Amino acid sequence: MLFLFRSLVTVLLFLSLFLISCKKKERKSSGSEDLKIKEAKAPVVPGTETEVPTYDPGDGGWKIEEWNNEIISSLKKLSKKLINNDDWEIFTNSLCSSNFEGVSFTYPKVPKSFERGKVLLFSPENEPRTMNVFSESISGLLDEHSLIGRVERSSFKVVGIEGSAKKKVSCEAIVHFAGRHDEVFRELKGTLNLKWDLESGEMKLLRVDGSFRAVYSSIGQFVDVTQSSLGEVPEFAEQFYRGQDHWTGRLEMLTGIDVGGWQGVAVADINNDGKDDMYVAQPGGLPNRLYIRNSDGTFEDRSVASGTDFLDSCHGNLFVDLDNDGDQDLISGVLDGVVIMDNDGEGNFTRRASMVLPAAVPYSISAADYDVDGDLDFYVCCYNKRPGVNRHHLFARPVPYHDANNGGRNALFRNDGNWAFRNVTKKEGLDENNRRFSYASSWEDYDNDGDLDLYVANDFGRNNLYTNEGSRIRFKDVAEETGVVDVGPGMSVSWGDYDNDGKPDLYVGNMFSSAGHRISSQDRFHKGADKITKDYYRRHARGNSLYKNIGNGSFRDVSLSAGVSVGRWAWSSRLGDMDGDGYQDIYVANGFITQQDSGDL
Amino acid sequence: MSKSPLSQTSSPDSSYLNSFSQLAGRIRSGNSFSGNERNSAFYNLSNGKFTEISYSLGLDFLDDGRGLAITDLDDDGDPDYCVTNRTAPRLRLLRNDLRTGNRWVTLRLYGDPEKNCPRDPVGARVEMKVGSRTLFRTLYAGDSFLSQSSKWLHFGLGNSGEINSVKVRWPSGQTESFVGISPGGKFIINQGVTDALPVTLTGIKSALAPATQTMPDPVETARIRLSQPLKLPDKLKYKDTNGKIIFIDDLTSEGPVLINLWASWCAPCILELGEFGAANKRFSEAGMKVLALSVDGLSDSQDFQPERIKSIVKDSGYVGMAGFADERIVSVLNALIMETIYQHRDLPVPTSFLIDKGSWMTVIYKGLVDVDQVLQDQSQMGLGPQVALRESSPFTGIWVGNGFKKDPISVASVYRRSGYVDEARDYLKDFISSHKIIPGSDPGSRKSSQLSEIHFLLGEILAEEKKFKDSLIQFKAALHLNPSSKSMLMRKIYALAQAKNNKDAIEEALGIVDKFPTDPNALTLLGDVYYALGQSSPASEAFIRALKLNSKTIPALRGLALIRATAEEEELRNGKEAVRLAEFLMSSPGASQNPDFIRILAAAHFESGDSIKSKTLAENALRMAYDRSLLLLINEIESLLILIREKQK
Repeated sequence: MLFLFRSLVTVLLFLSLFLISCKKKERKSSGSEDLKIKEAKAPVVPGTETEVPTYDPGDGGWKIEEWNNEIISSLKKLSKKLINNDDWEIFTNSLCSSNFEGVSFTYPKVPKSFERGKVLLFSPENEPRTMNVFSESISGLLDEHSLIGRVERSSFKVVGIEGSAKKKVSCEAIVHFAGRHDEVFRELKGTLNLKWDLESGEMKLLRVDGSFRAVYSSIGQFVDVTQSSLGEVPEFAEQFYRGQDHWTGRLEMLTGIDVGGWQGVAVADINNDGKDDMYVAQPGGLPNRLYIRNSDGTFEDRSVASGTDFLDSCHGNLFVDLDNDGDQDLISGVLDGVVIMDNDGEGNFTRRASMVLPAAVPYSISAADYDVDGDLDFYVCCYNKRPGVNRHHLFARPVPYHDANNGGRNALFRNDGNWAFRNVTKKEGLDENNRRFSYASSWEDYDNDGDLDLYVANDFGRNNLYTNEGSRIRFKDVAEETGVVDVGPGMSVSWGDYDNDGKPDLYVGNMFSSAGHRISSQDRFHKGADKITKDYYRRHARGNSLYKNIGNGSFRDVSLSAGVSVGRWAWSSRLGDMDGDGYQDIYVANGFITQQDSGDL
Repeated sequence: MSKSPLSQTSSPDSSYLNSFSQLAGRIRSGNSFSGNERNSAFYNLSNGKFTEISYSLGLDFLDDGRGLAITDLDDDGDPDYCVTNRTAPRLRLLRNDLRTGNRWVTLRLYGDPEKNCPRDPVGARVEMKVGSRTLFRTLYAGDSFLSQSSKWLHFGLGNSGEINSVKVRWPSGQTESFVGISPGGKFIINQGVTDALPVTLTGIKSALAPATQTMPDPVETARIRLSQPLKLPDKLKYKDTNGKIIFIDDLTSEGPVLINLWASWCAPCILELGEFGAANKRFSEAGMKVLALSVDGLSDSQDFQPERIKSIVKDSGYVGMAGFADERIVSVLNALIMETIYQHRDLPVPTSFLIDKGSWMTVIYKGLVDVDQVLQDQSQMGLGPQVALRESSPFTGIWVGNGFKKDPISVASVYRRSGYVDEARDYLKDFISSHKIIPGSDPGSRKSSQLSEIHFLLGEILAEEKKFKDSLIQFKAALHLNPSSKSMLMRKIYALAQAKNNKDAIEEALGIVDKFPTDPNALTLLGDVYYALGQSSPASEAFIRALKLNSKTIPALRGLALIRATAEEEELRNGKEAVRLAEFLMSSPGASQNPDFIRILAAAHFESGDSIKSKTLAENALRMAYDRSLLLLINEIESLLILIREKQK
């Protein structure tokens, strides 16, 4: 099914198509005006000025992206005004055409009293509430939930857009309003169908239909205790209160510093005092940090004393007991390979081995005793091939684009005792589909046969589920048969039994792209493609996936019905029971590249 | 199979890669890409559905989130989060202050290596009966993305919180029940010890106050110290204030120079010139010079007056060399910055460059620079790569990459041992093509002998891939670079045989025997050559002659044993003798770990009629060969096993 693999990169292709004709703004005129500008900004050597490219949505040739841009810009303004409670009624109505047909909303009515200490869901009433004036509908909705003047979040995501005859455009948007009142957090989530008129040359609203649900939470919040836990630690603020863009402007590319900020964290009890400590990976040129937790909850920097202050470019680390002596040893992935450090039990480390990986850069690391011989082995995802000297890639270059298999080779290391580790990837059958730009992996006995199987999330290409068969060629990729190929840019893996049925389920981080949704639903998009192909494209931008383990060694994709797909441009995601009700929730860390400019691609 | 919709477009590969580059280019130019996204939290509604309430839970940060791990920051049993970000702050600790009345228990598991279970029992599965429900949790090591969560397993018990039973299935297979676990506690479970061990909770919540992390203002200045200084291009020049053309190379031939770019309309630049002037003595004591280049002449404006610039320099208190930058020098310096760091757009004034003697650009200062900093950096120049590497980071730390073996033979051997023969081969070929040695130039030098070894290893790899002609070329090259090496010569002769250059191979092998008549290795080579050419009879004679000279010549024993066990000619085979020879072979040091010797013993037993013994040995050898990815040997052993199985049928 070649087309499946081709399309994956095509999604990125069409995203980038918009960027192809970047029009540089005219150079500013010189003279006295020039001087003023220079004083306002940092002074610059004449002739070296560069400007952040502006985003011209029409460049890709997609009319809908022009419309989208205009719609988004209006809705963004509305959001801002709602949050600032700043004449939003007037603005809302200014968006409407003189022939405005009206609004029809359905939303829940909230009982006067409701249970506290819970997360409550309210479904919309059946009967729609119709209004002639748009602002009155919004105000009715917000008022019902006591959010007028209290809106803290407002967002509109346009996921579908369609031009119809006679200069009309309809679009579908996912809407979110949220605020707090009376110690209850209230979130309104809905979809809006907006019909626009292009007759006057400007986009004006003709009609709005919407339906909202409400979620009320009075279970409290998570709070940020970074400053109180780490604020006093020397160099913490100096290093961590600066983003990657600061450091890529100061540290040589030669260090291997990455633009993506792909640095993770490993939590483990490193000094055997029963409390979790943490080890934070850092980009090339900044030293990894080992923070040991004190009994008062603050942390102490033990990076230097422990011998783990590696300056090499590092993405992922893992602590496991490799020599069965009861402490947590360190497996650190650096640009040149994998470093194995022996813990003396008190958090002081000695280097025991350094393993070169065939031409690859290590990312996530996971461990398991795959061969059931009583010691832990480990698997290293190697996203990219190691760049040559002086080369620096923000993006991988997956080729052939229809089934990229030119990433770094992932590696399985078998623990042979006495700090000897052997790369047994090929021997154990894991070299199949092994160069698909893998970001993350995790082990679990999904088929309940007593040995550990391995799931690998790949950015380009299908994901892998290697079942442990215990025979001479031990592993076999069964992602296809078990239903967990999960087409999409795989970023993370989290196993866990979300429905408490005793069978481990699987949550995979991907990306949700509203642009992908808009464009893939267009007829013009791969004209003549069959339905399967088009569905595939939509699937690619669908977002995160939840696979329910249905026993008999297979899974069912329940992402949409469970409501866990819209995790945006997701990186980490992990199951964990936040509120102690015995059911595991999911937290997703997301967002690709945020820079100073306003125009997001 | 559906037709790809993209097959209609022309040259999709190039346009596709092109758009990747453009996308990367746009981001480097400062565009966001799926930025400003809020983290998501999906709340499990316990009916198979979730609802996203990151705002309500205080978790919807706008950061470019990356890593995520669960921990317990305050020992209260509920999971807290540790998140890493691309954007500042690059680390967040998020404490779980949810108030639900639900209770918790946390468990830490230890396995027993005596029972074949890792002490750190990753993969262990806990089954906890709580009231009418059962909770299942597995111990993981590494998941999510680039992250690892705590080894303490968290169990949310709801508000009833009666624990009926706790069972653990260890990764080694045993299932075991544990007692003494009660809600609200923290327990250690040891394999084989029924009573769980309670751990005291400290409860430190009050100590740490939540606070919004406040980020410092962005800084405009940057100091970039190159770990590998860049050579300025030849003939880089400027005009001094008298209009005379000066070459940078001439200035740096005597010592280091600080090149400062400034502009008359930049007030801080002029103050900085004054500071340089005041420090003139310190600069000259350090043996360095300062060159102030005005960039005024580059502006489009018409009011560029050299005389005015000269007087500004004079009035500033600056003492030292001064001149005017032209477009070339600015664009060269700017390009070198682009080459060095990723995040660089406009070139600000002032910007200074510390250039070492010999025109090596070593430090770049964007914005104002402190004289002390320049002198400090100047004192650390030219002290070798280790110092340069240390200086290139603003923080102290270890460059752990230095401890990796980087010589091509070690690297290729790692690839080869891992079974990646192609990569080992390509790696060596790349190395050879970028490290050419001029033919005839001092053979025997260190460089030649290293290259010779590399050709040698590449030859072995090619031979293993049965590319004997290519492998012969490599052995010839190896010998050419190290002509006095006897082992290289012998390997080349054997390669001639492998490449079926029958006449040359035999001639040269006989030549070696003539030259070293008492060397059993020469006779062994002759035997190997005959054997490779399929002439088992003269081969066995050569091996016997070698063994007469020295009965412990292992390679000759090996060759003879192999012939006695497997020769096509029946008269050459002799099962009993083969077994005797192979057993003698097995008594040599390290033989028990040598799959080649073991398979010869297997073949000998097969020939002598003991196919049961033969099978066990062959399987053992196959395991070893697989383990070491010895491809040729794997083939040999597999064909032997086929013979054995056929006979057993």
